[in-house]
Amino acid sequence: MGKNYTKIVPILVGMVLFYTMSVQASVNKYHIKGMPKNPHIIMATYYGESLSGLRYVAKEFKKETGIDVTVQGIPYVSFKMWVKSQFLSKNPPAMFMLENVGGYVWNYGQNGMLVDFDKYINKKNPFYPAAKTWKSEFKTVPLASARDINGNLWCIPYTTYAVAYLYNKKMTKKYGVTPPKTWKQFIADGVKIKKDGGNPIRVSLTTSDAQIDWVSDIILGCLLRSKIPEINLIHAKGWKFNPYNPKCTENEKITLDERIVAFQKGIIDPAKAPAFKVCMKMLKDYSRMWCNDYLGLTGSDVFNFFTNGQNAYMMQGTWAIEPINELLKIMKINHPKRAFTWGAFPFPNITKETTDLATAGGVNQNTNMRATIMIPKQKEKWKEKAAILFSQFITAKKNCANVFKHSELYDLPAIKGLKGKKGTGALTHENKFATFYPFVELWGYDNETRVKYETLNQLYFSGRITMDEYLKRISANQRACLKRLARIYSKQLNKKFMKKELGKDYKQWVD
Amino acid sequence: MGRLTSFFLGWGFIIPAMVLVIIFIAWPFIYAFNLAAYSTNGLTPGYFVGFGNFIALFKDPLFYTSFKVLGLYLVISVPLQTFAPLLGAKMIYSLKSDKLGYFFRVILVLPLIVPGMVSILVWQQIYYSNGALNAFLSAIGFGQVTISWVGSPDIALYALIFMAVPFIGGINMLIYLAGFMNLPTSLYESAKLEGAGWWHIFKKIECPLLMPQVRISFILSIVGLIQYYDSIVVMTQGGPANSTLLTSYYMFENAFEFGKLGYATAIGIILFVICLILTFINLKFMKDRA
Repeated sequence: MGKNYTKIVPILVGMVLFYTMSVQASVNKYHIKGMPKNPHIIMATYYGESLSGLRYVAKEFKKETGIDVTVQGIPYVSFKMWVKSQFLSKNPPAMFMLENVGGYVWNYGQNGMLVDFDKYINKKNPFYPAAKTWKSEFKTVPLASARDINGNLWCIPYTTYAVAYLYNKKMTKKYGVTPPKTWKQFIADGVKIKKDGGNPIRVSLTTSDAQIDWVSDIILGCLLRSKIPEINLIHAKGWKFNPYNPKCTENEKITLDERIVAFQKGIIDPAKAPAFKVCMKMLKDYSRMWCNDYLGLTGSDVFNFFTNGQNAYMMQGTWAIEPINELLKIMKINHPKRAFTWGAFPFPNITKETTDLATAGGVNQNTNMRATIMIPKQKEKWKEKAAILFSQFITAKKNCANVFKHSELYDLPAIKGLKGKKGTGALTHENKFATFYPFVELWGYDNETRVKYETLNQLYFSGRITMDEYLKRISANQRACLKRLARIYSKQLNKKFMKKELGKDYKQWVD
Repeated sequence: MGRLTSFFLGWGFIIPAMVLVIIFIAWPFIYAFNLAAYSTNGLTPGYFVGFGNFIALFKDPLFYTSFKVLGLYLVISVPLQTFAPLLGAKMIYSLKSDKLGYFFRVILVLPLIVPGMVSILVWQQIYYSNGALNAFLSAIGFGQVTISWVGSPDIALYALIFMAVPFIGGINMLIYLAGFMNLPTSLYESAKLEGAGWWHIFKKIECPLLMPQVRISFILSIVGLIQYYDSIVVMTQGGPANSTLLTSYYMFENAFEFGKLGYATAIGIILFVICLILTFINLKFMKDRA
């Protein structure tokens, strides 16, 4: 016993020493200049469903780096105001995970208050050495859609959503319609349901809902795809556009100067480009199947009507899958006669029967960035770097998988090779055609244009203004917005290029 | 207590309150005039534009739209909020039973202690497409007139005004009631001896004597209504089709949605000037009447 004891003690001591040294070495590996002895940063998020997963991974992060991260939940209501107050306090949390509603995250970047991820994204992620660069870990579409209107990367995606049409199987069977393959058939089915006394779909035209934006984004993305070579004029040497190859736009971006040139030439000006007129005609057709309360509904009202079995269709995203399934389970118990099952179909194809403009491939489904990470610039630089480290840690494949495993997140991971929870697959469709994110949007390019666009939608769809008047005013709003952005990005604009392309018109864009 | 002690004691009591008033009321008020001369989003210092925000404002068609909406809102709401509480106070004052008077006073003042937001959320449920009002109308056989009450551009503003129903309670009613209680009883006795009925007493004695209270109610209503935007933020966001775009909400939208703080402050200053003008007109008018 005594002999064994003398042998075990040195082994144990050695093991303890080895462990301590290896932990110390690993902690030191991530030491940041100026970092205090017990470093601590805060990450704020309103995604309550992700808190448990993020906190789980934060513990792992502390073990690995010695940096303590508090994941703080904040209320969703008035979160924009809360975020603004944090920035004004000059001591904001080291990082935020929120949604880029109306591009407000970009707004902080454009005001010089956020860390530019382009400085880090092309380097290796120390927590995922298998990937060539940090950038290569992300799915293409969400990362591209994180770039602002000038192609700057003020945030990175953490989750991504996919949108599709959900349908009430019981109701569509009653009215004798099946999931449509083309836009024309979809409208015909909706009008038939309405004629037979049913309620095909509810749409909200208020500021709280984006359904009409999803539809117009899809339509414009398809109709204007052939114009991409005329818009992306500043590109890599030898770049060739192939509408049938989604990867061909991966390393390209549309910058503000290119956008201004395309707008001024009329390629993406809503008042001049025929695609916008066709898009509005299609939306007007679509409005024939809406219930007539579209001016007073919110996004949640639309959701409630569908889950109550009062509509045949609803356009919805991955985040809504769990609440829908839970509500339908309850309905099956409490009101078995009203209970129904749902199915999903992708946005229908735009064929020649609808327009001749879809000449470069068909429809790409709507999928985009949802939860996004932004890192405010800090007085204490180590905090910025610690936040970068934590964002690298949580986006490393294994850790991201852990966040989703320990969370109730029903959106999809923005990291390659990871899938969302069960049920989200019905809404997820691979994009088959090339495009840019953000490409051309009817709503414009900042929050002011967006709010004005929503009012114009209300005026147009309620018959108070004509389509020409609508497009003229949308165009004026977008022009004003592009001018605002040109002032913000004045230093980054390629003025030589603009002068060459615009000639006399150049002066109106540059002060 | 010596004069010096009294002096220091007086200032000692008044200075803390004065400091708070200067920091939280006077300074922001003065600072607003400075801010209106800048183009700033509140995050960065911005740049000086002089009267640029005011010039842009007078060229902004939405500013005029918001003024039209505000005008309609004031024309309907100010008389309702000024005179309906007078009737409420008259009814309570005329009750012979003190207990009954106390009961109604409490009932009519009770909504004051309910947070405004709670009341707005309740009304939102009432006006909702599947809400209480439409359910009630359907239940009594008027299903064909159910509409989206805050979703119709022709009705939304009236629906928001109606949220103050029955209009007779609140702080204005208390002001009138206090006025009624201070009226000399000798006037009532003389009027009754002369054979005056309740209507004559109300018209010839009470109304003229309550003019100072009417003046206060009028000013409070105007100032309150010009500043009001809570229900619009929650329920309509100025829509549908700008039908509820009050100037105060347009100011809020510019400041916190569009990040145009200088521009929004210019709107605020114009609203302040309007309040001032309406108050002067009211004081002048009421003084002449008196």
